Amino acid sequence: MQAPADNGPDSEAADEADAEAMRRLAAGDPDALGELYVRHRRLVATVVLGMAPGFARGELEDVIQDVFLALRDTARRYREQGRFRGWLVVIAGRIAHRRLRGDTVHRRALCRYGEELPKPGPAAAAEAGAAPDLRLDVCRLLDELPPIQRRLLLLFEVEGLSGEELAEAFDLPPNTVWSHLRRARTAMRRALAADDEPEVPR
Amino acid sequence: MNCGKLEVYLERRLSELERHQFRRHADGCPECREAVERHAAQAALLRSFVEDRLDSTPEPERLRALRERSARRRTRAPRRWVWGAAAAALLAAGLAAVLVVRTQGTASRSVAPQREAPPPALGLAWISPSGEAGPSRAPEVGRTIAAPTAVPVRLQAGPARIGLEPEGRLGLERADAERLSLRLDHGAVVLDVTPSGAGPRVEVRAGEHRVSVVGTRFRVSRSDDGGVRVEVDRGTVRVDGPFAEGRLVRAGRSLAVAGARSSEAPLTPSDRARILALLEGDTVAPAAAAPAVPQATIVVTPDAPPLAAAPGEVVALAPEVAGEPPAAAVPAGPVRDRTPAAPFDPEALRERLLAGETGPVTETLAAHLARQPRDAEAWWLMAAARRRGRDPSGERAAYERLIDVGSPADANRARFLAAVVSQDRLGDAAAAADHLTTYLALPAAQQTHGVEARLRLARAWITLGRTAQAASLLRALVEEERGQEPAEEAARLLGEIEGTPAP
Repeated sequence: MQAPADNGPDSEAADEADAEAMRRLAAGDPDALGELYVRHRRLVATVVLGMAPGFARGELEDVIQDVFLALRDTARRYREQGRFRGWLVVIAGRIAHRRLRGDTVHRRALCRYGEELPKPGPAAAAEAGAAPDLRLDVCRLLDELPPIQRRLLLLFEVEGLSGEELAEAFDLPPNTVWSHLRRARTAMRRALAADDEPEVPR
Repeated sequence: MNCGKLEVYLERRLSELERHQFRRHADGCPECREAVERHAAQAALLRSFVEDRLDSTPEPERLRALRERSARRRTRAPRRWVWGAAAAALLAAGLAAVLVVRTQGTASRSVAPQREAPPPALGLAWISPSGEAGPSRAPEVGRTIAAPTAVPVRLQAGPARIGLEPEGRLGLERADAERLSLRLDHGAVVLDVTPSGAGPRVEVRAGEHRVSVVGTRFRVSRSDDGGVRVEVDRGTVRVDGPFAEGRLVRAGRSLAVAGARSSEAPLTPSDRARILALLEGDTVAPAAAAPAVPQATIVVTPDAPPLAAAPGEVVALAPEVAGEPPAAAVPAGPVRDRTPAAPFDPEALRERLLAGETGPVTETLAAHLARQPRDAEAWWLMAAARRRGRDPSGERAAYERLIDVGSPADANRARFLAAVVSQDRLGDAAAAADHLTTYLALPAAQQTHGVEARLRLARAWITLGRTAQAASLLRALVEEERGQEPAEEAARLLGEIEGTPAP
């Protein structure tokens, strides 16, 4: 049985390393940006995909790098309160929002038709451990969740952010976070269960 | 009794001891066990969804790109609009192909690429005039390939088909599974790169410009005075040079840069023919002028003597490279079939669209839709083709057709997208408002983007001067979506209308 992901006891040490990197970044050390990028690239990707799950691979990296480049400009304003990851979620969300603008809706709508996703070959499918169609369904499924649930669910399950971190980052009461997460989980379970049933072709 | 702890267990809210106790319980409780396993599968699915979207370019390469961009922004005034334009173009086109030309300024040169174990070498094969690729060999870096007078040279290197124009000179700087790096010293080169997520990055350096490619078809030429011309037949090109930072050159366009001057023009049929001819085997120069057995010369720089070989024959570019068996090289791909498929095949069209063949796909679709005007799937493809062809009016027209011919779900979605295109790309608030009003009159369950539609309608009304209506819609949104993102946006818009700053 697999245990749910956990923040682990080393999260404090990780925070200290991040805070240190932010100090160096503010002081103009170019290597600090690379360090943060390596550690938190997937977190930023998760934030962006939470906002627009229809993003294709080649374009996502560009937005991720934009977020990190903008991070350099905000490094001076960084205050070491709470966890770095929560702060990064807020900042990345803001930057990505500016960067995506009205396109988020459009891209999410596109997600339903899968036309922006190159059909993955058998090798790519084997690599990801899931059938290509199933992954497309994840995109549609996320698309149909209310935006806030989608963003919370991805950060909670993919990046292992805690409910408290999410509550702080999204400025929500903790109980609201939990009820959003429960609803998202239920919706996902239902959708995946429905997928097992034979489907009427479109 | 422990079943009640399932939710909090999944939410990672139990102490170490409680977690342990719950796991022991779940081992003997089929329901909990199944729920935990199902949840793990869900989480894995979400993780692979995110990881699958991450670029698979090796980390050192990505880091280098980030550092270069960072250094460039540090040393120059930020050119936000450039990134914005690039982003918009990429987002709008959903390109499989991205092409970046970067300056070789001091900023980027200060960053040395981080290298670990060398990636496997890429095979390089000559292509005979009949279009057959010879066996591939590991190429030797540092050699220069020179095309003879009146005869082009064609090569296949991994995913890239290379055509070097007569009298062109091309240096081989790097050729391995990560990067195929060419240096254009003279003349012109055409590249046709098959889009591939995992293939090597392909780049051409021409003087101060660098062109890197993921999957596109284009020609780069340089003149003796340092000018560079880029012609794009497929995909989109981004050119960065000392005086042309972030210029986007789209399929069907060409950009000429000479010093501080630059000019963009449509690609003429003869430009296109020249690109295709060099790749497809029609001789560019009059065939009669070519010698019976055309000679391609391999000039070895700096001190080795030149070699000569006939095209079609494998030239041992790396006879002395030890420990790199040719078998490890990537085999040269077959010549791509460019004949149009006759029967209507939506999947094939989708693939071709992704490969950047916007123009031909649009034509095929138009012909098909003239015969079968009620084919909803073809209309969806048409909308995608129009979007890639940067034709928002055409895209909206396709959506509007779908409203008539599609299933109710298709029609809904199309109506929403027609409104989005009207508002964002055509600046047509009246049409957007019309579509959105109809969309919002549907039963709520059919509105997959209800909240966004209301926000958009409010914006359209503000544009049309119907602020009172917009304000009441926004107030309702602020109330209903309290604590969520749309409410913030609604409050901001409301603040704009009422002249008070948003909280």
